[in-house]
Amino acid sequence: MYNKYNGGAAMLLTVDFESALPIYQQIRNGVVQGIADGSLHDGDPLPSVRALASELGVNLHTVNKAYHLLKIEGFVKMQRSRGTVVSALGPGRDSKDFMEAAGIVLKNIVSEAAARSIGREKLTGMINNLYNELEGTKK
Amino acid sequence: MLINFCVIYSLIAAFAVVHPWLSRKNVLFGVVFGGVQIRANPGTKKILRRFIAWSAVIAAALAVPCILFFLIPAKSDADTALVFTVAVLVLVGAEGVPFIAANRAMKALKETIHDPNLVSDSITVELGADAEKDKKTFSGAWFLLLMVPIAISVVLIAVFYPSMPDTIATHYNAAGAADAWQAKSAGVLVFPITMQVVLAAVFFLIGIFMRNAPSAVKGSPGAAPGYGAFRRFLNGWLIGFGLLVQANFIIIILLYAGWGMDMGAWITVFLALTIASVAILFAAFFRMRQRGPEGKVYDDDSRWKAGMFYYNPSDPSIFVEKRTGIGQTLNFGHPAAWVIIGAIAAVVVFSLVISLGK
Repeated sequence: MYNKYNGGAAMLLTVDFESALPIYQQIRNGVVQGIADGSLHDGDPLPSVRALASELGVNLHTVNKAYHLLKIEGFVKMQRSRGTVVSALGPGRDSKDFMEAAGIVLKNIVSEAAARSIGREKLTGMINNLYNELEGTKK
Repeated sequence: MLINFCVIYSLIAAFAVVHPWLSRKNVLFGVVFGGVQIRANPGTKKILRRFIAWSAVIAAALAVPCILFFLIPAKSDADTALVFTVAVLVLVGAEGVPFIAANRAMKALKETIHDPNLVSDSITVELGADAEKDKKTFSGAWFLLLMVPIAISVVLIAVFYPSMPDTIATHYNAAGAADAWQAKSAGVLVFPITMQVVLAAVFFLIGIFMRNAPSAVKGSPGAAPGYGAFRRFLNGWLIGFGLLVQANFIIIILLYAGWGMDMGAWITVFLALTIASVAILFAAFFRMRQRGPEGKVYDDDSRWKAGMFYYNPSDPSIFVEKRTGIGQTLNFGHPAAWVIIGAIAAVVVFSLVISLGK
């Protein structure tokens, strides 16, 4: 691999063209993960819509949609002088909407786990591990 | 004339033959591979040998009738110019044939190779502050430097116009001796400034369009190492070269002003600087080329028609790095590329009509 990236300091976004997940969603998820694990910091510039579309060889609208979504969710903001920048401390992070949506997703997961007789400890352990992973890579 | 023709013709022919070395080490005839080992593959070596042989044979075969023509005594300048142009165009076109054949052969060879570093289903890019710093290019404002020679010309004309002689030598032959004169007028002096403005506009447009051109090899941040630095260099080079070409017209104004410039000496200096600039450009390119891919490489051969023409309608770039050769090329999948081609074609047709009408 590229030496510079062995330290894991860089935020790498991988777009899988064969995934069922739409590309704009993959870009959006990538940026959110970058913020979560600390590889993207508050105020970090993101490439322009045109530059990212060109690097990935995808349509302008695809990247635009991802950035628009991130902006609505408060993970990025548009600055006139610097373009799109990461907003890791933006308002509305623990918004009611997110907690509601997370509640629905978690309810489905917990129900299915229970139906499969997967115990409470196993599932909470998984969530703990995911948090640990994020904090472990955090700089 | 025969000497000029032979030099230009040989340069183009030589350029065609060395084409395979004017691309990244993991790209051959527009076909991309995951690593530089492909150059050591016996199949590749065979394709290279065949390509070189055919390119050389084509160049030699086309040269024979041209040289015979040049040996005919008493032919008009117009005929000579026509044969010269046609010969060069036919050579450029004909040299495309072995390239396309080699492109096909490389693709066939690729089918037989398992290349674990080549991916076709994903691209990884780096985001964040470091990545943006790597990609930084010259801002458009740097191209304002091209206004400096224009300003110098304007000042020189303003200062020296009253003391200029009534008749001005307006044309010089290759040896640097004056062979055409015109009466002093504002119109005569507008010419060098107009040329400088046109040059500034052309270099500015090329610079603006090209400064963000993505690399011809993608896939991961290390797929085309050194490209960011090379692109920055190319931007600066373009400004420097633009200034050099514009300088010609400052010399012309000094000449008009009766400074007794030695045109022969200037032409020598100009040619030397031009050759040096091109040499530096090649050196920078080969420095970048030294580094093979340092990460996954994306297989996008289908986007490079015949290995030469980039066609990707979903890519918003108008210019992209050339897959083979130094510099950049158009994305023919972008409508603006065809507008540019149309504009160039219009200029060529227009100047042909003008010159034929004379």
